[in-house]
Amino acid sequence: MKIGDYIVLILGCVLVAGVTFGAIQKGTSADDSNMAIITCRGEQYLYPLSKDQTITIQGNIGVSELEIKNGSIYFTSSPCRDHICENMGHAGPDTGIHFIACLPNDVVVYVNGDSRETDDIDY
Amino acid sequence: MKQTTLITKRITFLAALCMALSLVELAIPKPLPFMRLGLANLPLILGLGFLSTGQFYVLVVLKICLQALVSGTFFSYVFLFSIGGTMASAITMHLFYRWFSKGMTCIGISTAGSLANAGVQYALSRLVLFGEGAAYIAPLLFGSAFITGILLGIVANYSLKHSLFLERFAASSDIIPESTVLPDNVQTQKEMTISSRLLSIARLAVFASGIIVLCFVKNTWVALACMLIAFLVTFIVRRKNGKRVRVMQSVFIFASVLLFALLVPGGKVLFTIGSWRITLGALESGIRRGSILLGSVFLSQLAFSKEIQLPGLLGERVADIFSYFGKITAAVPKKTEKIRGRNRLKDYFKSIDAHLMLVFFN
Repeated sequence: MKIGDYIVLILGCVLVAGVTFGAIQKGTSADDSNMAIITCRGEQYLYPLSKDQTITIQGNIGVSELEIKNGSIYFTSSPCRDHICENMGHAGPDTGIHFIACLPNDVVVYVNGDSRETDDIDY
Repeated sequence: MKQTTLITKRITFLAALCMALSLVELAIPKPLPFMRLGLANLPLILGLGFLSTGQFYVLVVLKICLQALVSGTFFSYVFLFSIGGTMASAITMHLFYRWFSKGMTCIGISTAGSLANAGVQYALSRLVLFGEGAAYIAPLLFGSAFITGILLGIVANYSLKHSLFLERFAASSDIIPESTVLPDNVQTQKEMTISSRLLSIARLAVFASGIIVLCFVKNTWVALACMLIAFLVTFIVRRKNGKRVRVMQSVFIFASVLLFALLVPGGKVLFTIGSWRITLGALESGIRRGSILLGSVFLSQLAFSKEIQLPGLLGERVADIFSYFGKITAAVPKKTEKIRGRNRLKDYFKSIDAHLMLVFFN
């Protein structure tokens, strides 16, 4: 064993420890933050906000369409009469909006806040 | 003609050694199918000391292809991982050897290479296999790579110090093998009938079309059906030829891909286990990814066999490699039974060393 070996071994240890720490942190924080929880007609749906996608959900009166983009979720269309849901804005951990819904179609979207501070202001 | 001057007698022997070690590696049970010992990298590390840069990378390419043939993953998705991982590790080891060999032994070089391998495997598994769930496999991937890298480095150091074969091998003159080295192999090549040739072409066609279908399939259940069809066809064809298909290992790979996919939820919640919510989207994506991975492996096993035959000079070199491979692997199993006692590892090493000496210098 020469000095270079020790350097590689130490750096390797740091790398393995870092990766492990990252995985543990992801495992513990991944529960519900940065996740959209949608309930509709007694069923629950989960979508990570980190992945941009379009979601369609069959509700009481028709199909609601939601979009996840840049870490927030919002209604793009809904079969309801007043289209209030489409104007409720973007729900996300950083947008200040944690709850959007289309009540006529029974589609309720909830997004957890990222930090305690925003929770204190909200409630 | 450059390739033929690069593939010398020493390179064919080292390539055959890589192949034999791949076989040993396959026989060793591992808790996770993605974990690797990297035994087949040993000839690469040892070769650093006396091969030219060109020869070294020829050996790397040969190692990748031969390992894939031995494990039945040629041109499958697993092959992609093997190319990326081995290339990263080879380049790292080569550069480390060039820059730091004065202050570093094989342990450092091997560990660095192994970690580079894990890095590429991680990036690829994030891209094509697990998506975000890859973060959970990272500690296992890097941790096991770290440990196996050190172990391989220790073995390499020990070999450099104690292997008489290696000493003579490195010092031996590098000759280009004559084209008539192996008359028996050339004969079998001629005996290949038209019908068997047609059959191998048909297999290649099935393989190519199957891979294309798997690449573009979006629907989960279509992917699953394709995989099962590929499995059935491969199973029947290989059974007919008296070959096995590793079913349990395949189930194991599928299960682990599915498990890691389920860790990242998406879509309708089907049921919960404790606080772990199983979602339809994750289940579908896991089944799709597992099917594509396994399907490509089955197709590969259908299309390529270890007895692959290539025309021309390159084909002769490949035949040389297989001949060495046969000789290297012939005596090893018998020797493991004989050796008992306190110095078992040492004696085992000595017997392998003597055996390699016999094969190469006889």
